[in-house]
Amino acid sequence: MFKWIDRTFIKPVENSKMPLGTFILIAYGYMVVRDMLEGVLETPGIGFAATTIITIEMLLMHFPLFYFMLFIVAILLIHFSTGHDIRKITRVLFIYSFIILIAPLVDPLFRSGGYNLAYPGDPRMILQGIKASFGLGKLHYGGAPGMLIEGWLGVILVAVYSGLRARKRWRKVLSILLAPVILVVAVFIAGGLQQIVGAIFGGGSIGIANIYATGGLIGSATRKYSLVLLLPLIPLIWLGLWRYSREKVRLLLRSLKPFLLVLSALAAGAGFLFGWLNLRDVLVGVPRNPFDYIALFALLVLGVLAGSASLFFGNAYDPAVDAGARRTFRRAAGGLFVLSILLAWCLGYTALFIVIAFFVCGLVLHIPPLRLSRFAVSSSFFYALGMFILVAAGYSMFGMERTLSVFPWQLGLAVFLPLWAVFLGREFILRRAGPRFEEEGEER
Amino acid sequence: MKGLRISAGLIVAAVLSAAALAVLPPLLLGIGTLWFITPPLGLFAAAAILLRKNALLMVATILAVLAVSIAGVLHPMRLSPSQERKLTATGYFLKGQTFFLRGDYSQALSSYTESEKAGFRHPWVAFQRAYCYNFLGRSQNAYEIFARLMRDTLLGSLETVHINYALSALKSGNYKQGEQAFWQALNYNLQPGYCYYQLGIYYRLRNDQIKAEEMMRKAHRLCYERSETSSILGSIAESRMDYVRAEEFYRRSLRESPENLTVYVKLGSLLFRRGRLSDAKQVLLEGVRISEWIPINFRVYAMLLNNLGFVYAEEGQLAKAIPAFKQAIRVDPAFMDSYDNLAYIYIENKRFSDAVIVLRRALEVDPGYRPARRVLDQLLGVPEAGQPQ
Repeated sequence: MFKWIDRTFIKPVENSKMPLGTFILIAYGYMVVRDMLEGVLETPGIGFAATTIITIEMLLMHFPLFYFMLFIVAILLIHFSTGHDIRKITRVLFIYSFIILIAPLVDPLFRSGGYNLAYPGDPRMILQGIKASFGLGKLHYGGAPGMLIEGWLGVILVAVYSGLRARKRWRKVLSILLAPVILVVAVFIAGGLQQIVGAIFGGGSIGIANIYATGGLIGSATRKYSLVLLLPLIPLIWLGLWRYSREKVRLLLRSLKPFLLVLSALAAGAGFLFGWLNLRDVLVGVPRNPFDYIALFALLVLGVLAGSASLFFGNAYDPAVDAGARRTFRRAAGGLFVLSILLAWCLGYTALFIVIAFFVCGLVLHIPPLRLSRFAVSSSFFYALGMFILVAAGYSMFGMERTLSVFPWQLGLAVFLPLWAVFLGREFILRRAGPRFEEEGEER
Repeated sequence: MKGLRISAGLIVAAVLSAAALAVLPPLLLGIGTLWFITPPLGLFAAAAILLRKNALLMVATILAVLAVSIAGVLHPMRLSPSQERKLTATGYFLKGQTFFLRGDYSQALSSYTESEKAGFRHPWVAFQRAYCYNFLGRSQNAYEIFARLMRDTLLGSLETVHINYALSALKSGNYKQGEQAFWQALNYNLQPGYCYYQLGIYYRLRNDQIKAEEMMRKAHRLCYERSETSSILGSIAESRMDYVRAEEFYRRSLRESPENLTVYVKLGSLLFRRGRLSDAKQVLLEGVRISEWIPINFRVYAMLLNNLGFVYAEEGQLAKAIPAFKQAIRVDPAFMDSYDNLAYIYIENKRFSDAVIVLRRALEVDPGYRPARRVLDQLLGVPEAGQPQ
């Protein structure tokens, strides 16, 4: 039977020729469908049941980030427990992630009107779910029979898959035994992170719900929670990619220009700092929100991500880079573009639009063929503009997206003109570095 | 050396970089200290360009950005009076927003007012002020601002302004305008679920239960606060003495949101009044369990415990009733019913000294609480005010 399962359901998926992006999109589709179904068949006011901007953020970003975090942790843990190829595990887990649709489809069969589902990130909730499965207790606070079915089915699938794929006997036994632990850890990391944030930054007696009231740089609780998921997701994605293909990750890392990335992060941070400096006298007495430090850190990460995406994009269309590497750079640029946009979205709508402008001005317009030596002036202009836009993102970020309109022109000129001059010098250095570098715009 | 041949372009770039880095930041930002920092960095950048060392050039740029940032911390940037004014106005608005998000509406209101004084004349500031007035219970002020926004500004067409205008009109006693505004909002299809819900509450307050029920049914159909609307439908049915329907609605409300703790109180009370003590106890216990999980609303938590104590007392289980009342007092010391009930049980069981202690504690919390004062006076043998001794 296991051989039949392997032959029919697992091997065709593992050996699929579809690119990773397609699997990610398929999983993302399941997640959005789950949210929509929850809105219709369960009680939370998401999906079709509500159409506010917060719901759209939850639907398209917050909940999918939770599921992606869950799947990536599960993929890494299965990879470490079985020693199996991470690419194959990723394909199988993403394709069969449709089991997340069980809860909204099954719950209404148990009780008309469904249930009020919640993140199973609270350890008490997991314990309660285990007890309820054996009739030792009752589910309440966000639990549902459909979630229990999902949970146990997930454990069975992970156990079967791990058992089939672990090569040595001791690994088979270990990975089957670890299946429930893997799922509990993945669920707990994905849901627990948000519980921790709620507990730390909620404050007062209201608890988790209070995060809505704490305000700070990021006004929306949905975006705060999304940020808490997104920041740890970035190193996890890198770790997953490292296990996926070391050569490609090495290629990407080697192509990075550390000084340029530091400058990008500093530009974003300096903008934020000047936003604070210009308003500090007025804002005396305003209580600080601890979450703002996370937002500031995210701003620096945004600078690095946007700078890296820009570099990858430049390499993706560089004729001097071989075709295979160019494809890798293109995919990496696409991935980083999505991550940067998500991060900017979490930080605020102005930051989102500014970062999109960064990609248009700073990224698209300085890649070849525009970034050839004969266009040194325009190329350096757009590099400087890209950096300047990051300063503006930082500045606007300080005042909950309200300060962009009072950005002092003196600061703009004092930042932009020296940057333009410096990048012009950089272009001339590249131009003088030799015909090959001149043609290809490569930096050394 | 071919590699070190210096072209005119390179020289121009080096001069431009040196000049821009050295002169522009101190000149434009008006920070004197920078005159001692940026010129050497400009020279450093020029040397890096002439030596064609990109890494050194980037280091010079990074140091320049750091220098400007650090100098900015130590010395304020020079701004024109109009820029200062705009920044102050924006700053006060931000201050208002921060306090608003924290729920400190009185501080938010004063910050918004300061912002307007500093010249921030955007209607949105007025909108936020009106919002604060609404939260502070000054509905008339809120209504006046919303009415002006509806009439005089482009914000009048905004959904949120319209809806808030309608709500403030109802709250400030301008019922006709409020009702009309909500019906108009329904015509425009502005948050219909919310409008039906608010109209339902309004008709309920006016004792027009039929209309209220119709509105709440429509709100429920549109998925607006399903659990809350079911709960209100239950209350309407209960007020019509249709207890079976009321129970159905309450149970539906709990299905829709098991965390809606007020419904446990309502359903528990209904079942208690219908003499179904065991069912009432079960519902209240479930409510208490959930309150322990999510301690959000301490008043409702205390009400649940208080009602549970009442049920236990009715069953004659004093050993359970007394701790329930005591816990209710611990959870919400300002919920006075628990003191009354606990004192009553003590008096019934002739534990007068315990009753006196409870009533004294009630008076410590609220010295003007008359029921406790009256019973305490009776217990202590003090004649009531106005009666002959």
